[in-house]
Amino acid sequence: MSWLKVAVLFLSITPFVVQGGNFSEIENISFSHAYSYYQQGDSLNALSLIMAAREMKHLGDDSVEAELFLAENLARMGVVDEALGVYRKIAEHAKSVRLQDTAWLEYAKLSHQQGRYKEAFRALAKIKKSMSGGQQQERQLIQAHAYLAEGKTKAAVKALPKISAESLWAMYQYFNIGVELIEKHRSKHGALVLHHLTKLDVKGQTEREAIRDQAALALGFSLLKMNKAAKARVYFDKVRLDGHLSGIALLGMGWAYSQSGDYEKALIYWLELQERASNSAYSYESLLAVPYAYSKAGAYKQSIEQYKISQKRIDTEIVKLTNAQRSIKSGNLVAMVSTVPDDELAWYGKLAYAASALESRVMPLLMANPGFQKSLMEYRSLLQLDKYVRQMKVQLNELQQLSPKDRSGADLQALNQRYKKLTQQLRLSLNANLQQLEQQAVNTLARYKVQLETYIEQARFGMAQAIEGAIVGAKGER
Amino acid sequence: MRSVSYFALTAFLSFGLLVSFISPVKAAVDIDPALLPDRSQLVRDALFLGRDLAVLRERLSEADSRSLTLYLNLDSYSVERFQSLSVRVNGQAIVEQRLNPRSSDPVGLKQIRSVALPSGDYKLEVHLASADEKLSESIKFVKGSGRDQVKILVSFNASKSSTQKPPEITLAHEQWGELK
Repeated sequence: MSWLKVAVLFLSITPFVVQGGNFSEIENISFSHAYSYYQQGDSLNALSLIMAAREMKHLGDDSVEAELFLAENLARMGVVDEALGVYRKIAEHAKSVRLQDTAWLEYAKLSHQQGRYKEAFRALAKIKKSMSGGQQQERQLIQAHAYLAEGKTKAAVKALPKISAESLWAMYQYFNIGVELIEKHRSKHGALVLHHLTKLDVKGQTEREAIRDQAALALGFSLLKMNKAAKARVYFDKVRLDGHLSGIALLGMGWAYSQSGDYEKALIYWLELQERASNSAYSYESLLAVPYAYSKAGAYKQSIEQYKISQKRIDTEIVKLTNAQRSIKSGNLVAMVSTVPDDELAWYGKLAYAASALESRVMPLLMANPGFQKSLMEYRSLLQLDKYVRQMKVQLNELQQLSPKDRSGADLQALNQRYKKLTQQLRLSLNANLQQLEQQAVNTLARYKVQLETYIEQARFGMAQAIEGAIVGAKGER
Repeated sequence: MRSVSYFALTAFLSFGLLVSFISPVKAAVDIDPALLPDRSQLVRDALFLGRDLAVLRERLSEADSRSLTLYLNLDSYSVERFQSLSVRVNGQAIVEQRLNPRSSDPVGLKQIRSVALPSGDYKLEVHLASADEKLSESIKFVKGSGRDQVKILVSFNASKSSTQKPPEITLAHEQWGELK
């Protein structure tokens, strides 16, 4: 093989794919061809091209970087064993210690995510010392989480690093460990972990900002449960008002003031929540919270008016939910979910503006259910896979034209059979997934209906209290 | 007296909404583990089928003839700036293409042409033209091998000192297979 060495600089490639890998310069044509598919959002074609180039030994001097890229994306798509195999191969054969270490670290991260802690520990033990600050943090976090899984809380806390915002993966793990320490192990260190996350400077980095918001919320609600309202407010206050978690922060802030007996301040946050255009579980909460706070603040007249407004709204919402359930059962879910952007962090803001059809207005309610979010992600992955497999039919037909009736003809026949089997399985899987998604949507809306139906009773009771308060107040004035 | 706040908060918590904030979806496992085996198997099968198709296509074209495959990568600036692209091998035009900035083509690396490989040494020329300027680059390759690939990269370079350099064409050449 001869090489014409030219400096080929891919200006638009950002080295985010594999930490430690450097994609700013890709010389190999096969790899850069595949990578351009990836840049255009077609990961499946990118991976199959790299796998083909790997098979034909066409990756040249960029083979290690290409394989790191391949392994990371196989892991993302859930093809775990293949991904682990590629990492192991790189770790055992790469010439540079830095690449070996990166591969062992990625191997450990993936094993850890699968709950294979012993395997993760073994991989970590092979790492030498050429890691970046972010990679060091990832290594310590794997150790800490593995200790936690074994119930060794003290060892886990001791192993925990103080992370920076360098590694997104580390931020997620740090958050999970913090929540686990609070929820399962009742450890105060969990609060310190979450507190640390809320202090990271991540301005302008959307996904990191979302994690920071989540940490502030988790900490705020934990403190609220412990009746530490003043401290909880500090954390609710850190949540961005323009972020997708701002609704629950407003609700929490209201509860925090309410817990301190400051109902007028609570009202500021709950009214803001109520005024927001989009539907959400949190705006439903404001249907009771607002009149309740008015009543507690002694504004009985406003309270009674608000209860009346809420009762009407509850009735309307129940009808709307029933209609949406009917629409989903008639097969309209596919159209409804098409309004949800692919980027899960962007869905809230966009839906608030895009949702004009009656059915689409329930999407924020569905998206607030993490189970539904996951199923939707799964369904969309299958749709992408379906699109990719359909393209193969075109390629198979093209090859049919080219192929002479010799050995390659037999190969082509075998590929055709694999294609047929795959499309049948994919069809079954897509149908099953859509059914599951529809069922989940109908059930989620049913739960909201139950929630609202209990509110009818509570609103009646609350209004009676407000009327009683108004009468007692009027007598007192006389 | 029963408190409304108690019931509202209880309903809120029992509904499990908090879970969505304390379990980031992307944290550890991207997809529902219960669904993972089926889908991951489908993805695996599809990727391996895609790989084998690409390998067979490559093998067929190798067996068919010696070939020269051209890949083109234009940055968006160059697509805006130039209206036409032509590629010649030994003076013979093998690509004559109008560039259309409004269409999705051809930003990003794309395979644009595969032609029979000339025997012996050959000269490859790339020309880009706009209404008022022309940009050319040529290179001579010593002997074609079984499979030649050339990547034509056109990029506009802006230096840090804010002095803008004109676009450049760089050509990368790879050969696979045996010399025939």
